[in-house]
Amino acid sequence: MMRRSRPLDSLDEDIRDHLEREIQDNIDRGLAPDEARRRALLAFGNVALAKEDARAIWVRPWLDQLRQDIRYTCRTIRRNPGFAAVVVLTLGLGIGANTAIFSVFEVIALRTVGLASPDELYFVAHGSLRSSPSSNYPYFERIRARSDLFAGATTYMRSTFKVSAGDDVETVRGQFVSGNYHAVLGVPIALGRGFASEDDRAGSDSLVAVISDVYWARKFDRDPRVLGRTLVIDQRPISIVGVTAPGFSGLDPGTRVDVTLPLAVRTLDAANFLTNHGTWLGDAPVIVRLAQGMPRDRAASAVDALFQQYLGEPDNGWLRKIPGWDHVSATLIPANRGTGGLRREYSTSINVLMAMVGVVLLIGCANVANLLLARGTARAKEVAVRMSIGADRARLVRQFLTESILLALIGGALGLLLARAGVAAIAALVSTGPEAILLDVQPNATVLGFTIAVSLLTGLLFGLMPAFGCTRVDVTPALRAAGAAMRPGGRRWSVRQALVAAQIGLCVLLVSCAGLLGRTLRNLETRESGITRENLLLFSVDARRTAFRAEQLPTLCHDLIERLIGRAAVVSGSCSRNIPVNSRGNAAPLEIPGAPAQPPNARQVFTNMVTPDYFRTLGIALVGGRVFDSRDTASSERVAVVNRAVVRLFFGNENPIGRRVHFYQDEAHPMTIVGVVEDAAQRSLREDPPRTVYTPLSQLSQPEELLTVALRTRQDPAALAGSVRDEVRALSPHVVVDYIRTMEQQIEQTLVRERLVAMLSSAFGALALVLSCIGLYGVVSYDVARSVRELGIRLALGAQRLDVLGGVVRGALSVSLIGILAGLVAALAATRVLGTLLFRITARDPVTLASAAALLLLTTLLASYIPARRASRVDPITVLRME
Amino acid sequence: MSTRRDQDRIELLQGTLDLLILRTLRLGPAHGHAIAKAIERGSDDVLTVEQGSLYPALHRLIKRGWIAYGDGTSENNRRAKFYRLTPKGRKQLDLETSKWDRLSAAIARILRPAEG
Repeated sequence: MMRRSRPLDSLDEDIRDHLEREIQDNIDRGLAPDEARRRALLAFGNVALAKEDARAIWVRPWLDQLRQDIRYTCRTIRRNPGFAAVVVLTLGLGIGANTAIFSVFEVIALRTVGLASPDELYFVAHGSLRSSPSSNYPYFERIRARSDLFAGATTYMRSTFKVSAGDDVETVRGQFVSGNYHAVLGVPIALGRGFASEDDRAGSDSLVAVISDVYWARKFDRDPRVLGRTLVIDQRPISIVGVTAPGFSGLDPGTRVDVTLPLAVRTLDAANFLTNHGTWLGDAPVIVRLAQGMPRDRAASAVDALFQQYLGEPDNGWLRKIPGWDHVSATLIPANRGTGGLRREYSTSINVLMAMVGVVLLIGCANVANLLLARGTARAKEVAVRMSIGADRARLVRQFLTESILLALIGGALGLLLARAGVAAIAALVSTGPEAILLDVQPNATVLGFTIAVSLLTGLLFGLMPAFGCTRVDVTPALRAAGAAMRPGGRRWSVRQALVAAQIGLCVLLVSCAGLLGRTLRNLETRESGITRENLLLFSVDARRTAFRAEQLPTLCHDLIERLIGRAAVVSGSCSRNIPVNSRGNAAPLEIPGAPAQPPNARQVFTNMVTPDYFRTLGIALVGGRVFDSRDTASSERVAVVNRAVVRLFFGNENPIGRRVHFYQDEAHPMTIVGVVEDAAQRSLREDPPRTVYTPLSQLSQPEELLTVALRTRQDPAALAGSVRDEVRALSPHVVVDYIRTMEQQIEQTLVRERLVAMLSSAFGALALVLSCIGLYGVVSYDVARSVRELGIRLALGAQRLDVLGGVVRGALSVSLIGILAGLVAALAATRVLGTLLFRITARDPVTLASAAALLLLTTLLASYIPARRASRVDPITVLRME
Repeated sequence: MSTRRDQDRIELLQGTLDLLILRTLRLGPAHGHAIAKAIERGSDDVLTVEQGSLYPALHRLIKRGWIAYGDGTSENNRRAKFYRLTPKGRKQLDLETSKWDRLSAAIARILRPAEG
């Protein structure tokens, strides 16, 4: 007779059936139908309630109890809003810090490019340039021809474009792409169309562009009539045919693509681009989309075979001479998250920061757990009452957990708000300067999911122990103690102590890391760069793809500097090819006839081209010989100035002045060394000044289209920015002045990562310190309050107040010392991961570690002094009267 | 139903109803109405079951796995849901019964010490 069905399925029917039988019974006993019905309903009782109760057997346990628990929690919060506020604020700060760092982590490490089926996309990467895909066009064409391997292959080249509207010229970021770019990658198009292969035909007379959503919004206010509008890009009228959808910003995380042009436009400036085997472009990745069902490994080995064949051709043998390329191979690396430059630069930093915020949250959790334990002791009576009237322990544990999770979720909501502000600040910090990193950190589902998960986990983490601890109540004594003078078991006290010790240990760890990173930043900021950084203004003058003739650029700079010296508070000015301190720079092996042979790699020198006043303007001292002057012209003998590092390597104690040198494979252009200058930073402050060979700008064989001007000023250089623009405009409307900044700003920008990491880690260290201080204060105060009676008796019996004070502080110190020792051990083990982030300081720097320990000791004294003083001022009479 | 006056009747204690249902079903499967009637009749109408409370109790027992149910046909050929005792329920009944015996004996000893 048994059949499986759900018990509640026929509940209505069962009850109706029941009532009918009862009515029938009553009728059978001789009652009138109406009366029979009335009596049946009376005997049954409340039908709706019966149904509801029966349903509740199945449904209620969690849903209903959850509602109950939440209502109960809300009541608890209302009754003690101060407690809730402290908990929510603590968690809000902890979760907020985690959310903020995770938002950045998500952009840098997790986010995939906004393309169709991104997992099918791979970069073709080579040898030591494996991490930054590279190619040249003829090679790309061979890959594209392999339709047996790939559903498609495309390429792009990052570039900047000058978009002019009337007299106003703006530099925007963009890229040249192969005509199949949008189709192969599946770039989402919001308006119009992506490129077709006809758009990329050399000699095509109608030039077209696709713009980004961001650019569309900024320049055209999202006007749908933008299609067909003409932009003047690098002097050429180009019409807009499409707008990409929001969410797509190219394949290079951290940069933005505002304008996309077909490679055909580039060939107008570099005619041999499509056929040139003689270059290898580090910034022109080839991306392939694997053919249906093609395994990556097979495609990769086919690409390598193709690459080896390419290298074997006589035209391309030079590639094997690139240092490290004698046994180079090609492979495919995933392109679903774009190129890895930003990821590589920031991965250690962001991982360290993620770990740090995790520790901050742990410290916060320990605080909240301690608060809950302390309050649990106060609530022991309530728990005892509820258990004595039959509440089961599991139910109470769930009640406690609901409360902690609810508090954690409220904290998480606060954290989301705090994180938005934090992330905006981080994004602003890294988005300045010529190498600005654009972080699109709008809140998204991943970040929201992370925050919710962290909140729930946090709630469990700090809630579990108190939930079990506080429901382990021995009912009878708890009730008898009438709540006031309840003494918790010794065990629980030691849990609270352990939590505080752990907090302090973690705090030592964080403060040590923050100290190391902070000192790294200071070491870099104060590092002698060889350049006098005060009162120095830098800007670039850019004549690339303009109507201005590049050969005229040095003259223009010369005139500009003359005019500024005449009018403004400028002492001297100079031009150089490289940006001081932050140059990507060029390097070449130096040849010194007659010197002992060394491999070309060991002879690498950094090269720069400068005007005569360069050294004076930047404050690079002359050591011997002379700097360049007006005698050094395009027709005179070629000359060079070298720095001390060059002398150290090549000449030792010999006098280099008058020696003739030339660059690798450039015997046709020998140079005579005429001077030696002090070392000065070129690429970054992190590395030692490289061996540098300066040559005069006036002897340049090919004109430079982009120069950096430096001006030494008498007063605040930033005030000069406006007149620089005016003067350049007066000299030529075509030349673009860009990136006007002081040397100090420039140095700041080169240290953006270090500053970010140092600032955030010290913020987290400070937060950890405050939280630990609160935690320690809470535990000591609680302990004092608990033993007020004992203290009173001891004072009444003649104990000295100072002894009482000392006793409390000593107690706190003993807990804290254990924590500090553990923290130091952890710091010794863990700070090693900072390794590459540090500069001129070791991960086990004793001064930093000792300072961290001392700081925590001081904090302990501070946090325990107030409760200790309170303890020593206990009035024995009052206390004894309390009985 | 019964004609006795209300104050002579005793409300069921929490949990007791479950025990009575199990005891009733020990005699064989029954539908809801029959269980209610059997309890009332079995106690000489001293115990009242508010019949509605039977259903939450039945569901509670199903959930605990002490009784099972299925569709069957009653004496007058009507379809009805029949409940029966499971082996687990039988064990529980024995346990509860002996507990009950000890409890009532203990209470009886306290209430009438002389007779003890």
